[in-house]
Amino acid sequence: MSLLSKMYESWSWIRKEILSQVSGKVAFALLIALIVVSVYAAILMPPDYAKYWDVGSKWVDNPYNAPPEWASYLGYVCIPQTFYDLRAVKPGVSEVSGRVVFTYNITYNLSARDYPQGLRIRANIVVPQGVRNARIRVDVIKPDGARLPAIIDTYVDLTNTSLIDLNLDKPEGIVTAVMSAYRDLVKFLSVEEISIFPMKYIFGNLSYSETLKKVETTPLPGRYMFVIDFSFRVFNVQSQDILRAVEKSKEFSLLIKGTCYGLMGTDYKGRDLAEGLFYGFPIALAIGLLVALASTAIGVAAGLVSGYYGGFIDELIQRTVDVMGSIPLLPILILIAQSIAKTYTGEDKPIVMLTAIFAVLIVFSWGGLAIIIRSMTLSIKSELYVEAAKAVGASNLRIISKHILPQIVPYIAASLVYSTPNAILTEAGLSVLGIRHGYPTWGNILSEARQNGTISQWWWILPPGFLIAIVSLTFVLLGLALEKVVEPKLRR
Amino acid sequence: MFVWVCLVGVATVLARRAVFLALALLIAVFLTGFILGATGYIDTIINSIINEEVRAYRQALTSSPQKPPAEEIEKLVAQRKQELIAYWGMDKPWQARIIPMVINTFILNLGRSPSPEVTNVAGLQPNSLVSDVIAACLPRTIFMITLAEAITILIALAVGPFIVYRIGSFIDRFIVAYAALMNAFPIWWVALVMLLVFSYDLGVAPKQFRPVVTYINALLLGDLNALIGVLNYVWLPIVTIVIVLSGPWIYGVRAMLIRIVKEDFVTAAIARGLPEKQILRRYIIRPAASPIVTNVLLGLAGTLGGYIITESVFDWPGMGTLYYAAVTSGDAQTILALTYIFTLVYVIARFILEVLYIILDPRVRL
Repeated sequence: MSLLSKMYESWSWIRKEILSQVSGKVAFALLIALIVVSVYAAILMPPDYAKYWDVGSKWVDNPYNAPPEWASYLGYVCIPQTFYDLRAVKPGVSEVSGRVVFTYNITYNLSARDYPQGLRIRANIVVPQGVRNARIRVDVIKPDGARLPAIIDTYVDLTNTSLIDLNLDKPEGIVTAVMSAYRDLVKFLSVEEISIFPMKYIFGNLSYSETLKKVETTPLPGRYMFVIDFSFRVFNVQSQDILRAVEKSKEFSLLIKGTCYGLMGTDYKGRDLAEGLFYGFPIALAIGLLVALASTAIGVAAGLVSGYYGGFIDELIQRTVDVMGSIPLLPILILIAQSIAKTYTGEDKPIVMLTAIFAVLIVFSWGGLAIIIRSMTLSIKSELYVEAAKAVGASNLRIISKHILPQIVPYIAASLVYSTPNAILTEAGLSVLGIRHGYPTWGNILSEARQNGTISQWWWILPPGFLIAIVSLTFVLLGLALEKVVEPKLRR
Repeated sequence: MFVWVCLVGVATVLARRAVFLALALLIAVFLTGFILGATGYIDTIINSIINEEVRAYRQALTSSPQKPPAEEIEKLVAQRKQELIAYWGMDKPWQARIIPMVINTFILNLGRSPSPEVTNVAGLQPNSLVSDVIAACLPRTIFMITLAEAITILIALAVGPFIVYRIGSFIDRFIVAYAALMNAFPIWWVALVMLLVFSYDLGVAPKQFRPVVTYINALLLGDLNALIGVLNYVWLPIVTIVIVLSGPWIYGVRAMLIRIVKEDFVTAAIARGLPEKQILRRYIIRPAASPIVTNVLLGLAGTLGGYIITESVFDWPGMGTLYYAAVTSGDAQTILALTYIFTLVYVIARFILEVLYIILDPRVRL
């Protein structure tokens, strides 16, 4: 029988033993779920994911520090993201002194008592020849009847670009617009307040507070009208042609940013945490398995050599394990990671730091297994059938692979299982501490939450830790089931 | 004669252990020094200190009322820089600076901490003695981490023997499940959740833990009234640690006891109809003593270094936070001193265990 088939036999036995226990069944189900999600995420993962996560251009549209949408059931005031595709809206067309003007009237219903986080108008229009520039002007008519004229009024040169991207989180014309809309309050309005919190003045009810001696805002739910004038200076172009170009454009939209987002909310950069957590699955599993495989391989090799050959090499390995066991791992790990974080400046710093962390983990974590394998090898080596095999002239390699290895498979499996969560937990722990490698792992998300968030942003802090715990629970349960295979005394 | 041979044997075994433990200590501290030097971390830190001082000096020169001419300033600044480089030893390779530092650490000549972050954790003036800094932080770690671990151990030692006769019962299954769950949850994450719930949501625990220093200092001076103040701060971290650690601890004690319960001599004792209490005391606890003592002693010794990550989550000004402050500010003196002490405590605990094994286990004695 070949080594492989023996290994397989041993493996099927282990699997049967594991599946005969409740914890084993749960662990198996969890493990399969983990693997499926990880493979799925790995397939969908954008190329150069680290960069995508760090500076992804799509995050600018999201509200930042936003709880998940279902947080409204927990009593959070939730304004959903509202997106208008203006290509599908029929504008009013007019022509004023050489300009073609399209007027879009968009109604927006604010139902929650809060302010949306921002506005954004974006267009990607290839205009016909002869169009010189475009002008965008936005008026807002509020539910209380006030009209904020021209919160933005801007020209875009369209000769070289087809992209218009107006970030209206802080619209330029807001101060004048508010001042002219609320003439009776002008004396009490603070220019600074308006320019720092424009959304409060667009979506709020303004009233003069006698006690505070200044204008106060409260959220003003109701029907808002956004009047968007999109006009073009044209030269020998029909307005229909431009309208057709607008309708066929890649993008022309108005976005009103909410205060809640998606399944898992967003972080301080507006990044969709659901996405980060999802792509974290394959990364976490890869990290765990990589370190576990490496340290187990070294442990098995060292244990076999130490037990089988004995003598000086045995003594050396044993004493090395001894000495390494007395050196405090975490402080050394923290020191190495921090030293590299502070001195290494290359582009690939995240990878270099992670590699260093894992190398230290591997170097320090093979000792326990080596000792177990050594004592197993010692006892198997003195069995009669090994003696017999030697007498017939079997080589060392043959004895190790045919008689010893198959018997220690359960221990190898147990060691793999026990050490897999180790690397994930350590990496996350270091990140939580503030040693940041920058690669978008679950630990990294947690570390950014600790650095840039407040602890009350539970949707940012709890899920990464929870996922880490689920992964580690999977392996702990698997280990629990394996423990009874490895140590029959623990059985009932 | 036989007794003498035995004693000599025991002495050589212990001496051998002592040599290797000392070697581990040596390697740990030298390795720390090597990491600090070889990665260039220390140089980066010292260079930035020197640059900052040179910048401040130039600033002072140019803004003084009798401003010297430009060339004069350049000359003075260059001279000052040379002085600083010589003072910090930057004109020599890192080995020449680190090795004396490591040797000084071994003879407990720990020096002073140049880092304000480190002395701030201890609540002392900048440039304080490292030994004073450590002496200030150690009691805080003992009051939190060591105390929590001790409580956990007591719980485990009380519950373990109770469930060992009820293997497979509901309570046993519950404890195994709890242990598995708590093995999976890192303490620092549970700490974050506890902070979120008790400090921020319910508001029954403090949000800042640094002020505990005042109460601990008062308590150390003998003011028993400060105990309430200390408890007010310490209960949340302790409860957190006990919740998480009691799972694996109870499971560990249970596993050690089960191994012995399955032994023939216990079965024989049960068959003889001895009372449960007597079997436990005479046939189970005694053989289980040495692995349990090992775990207890190493566990308690390990707490003196503080749980670095957990302490940082609570911002608890103990040994763990101190070490992290030393690492982030690149304070080689304190890093070396703490590594030395962490390893020393562990190594001493291991040695005490070696002696205890000989006392506890008659087979080892001969």
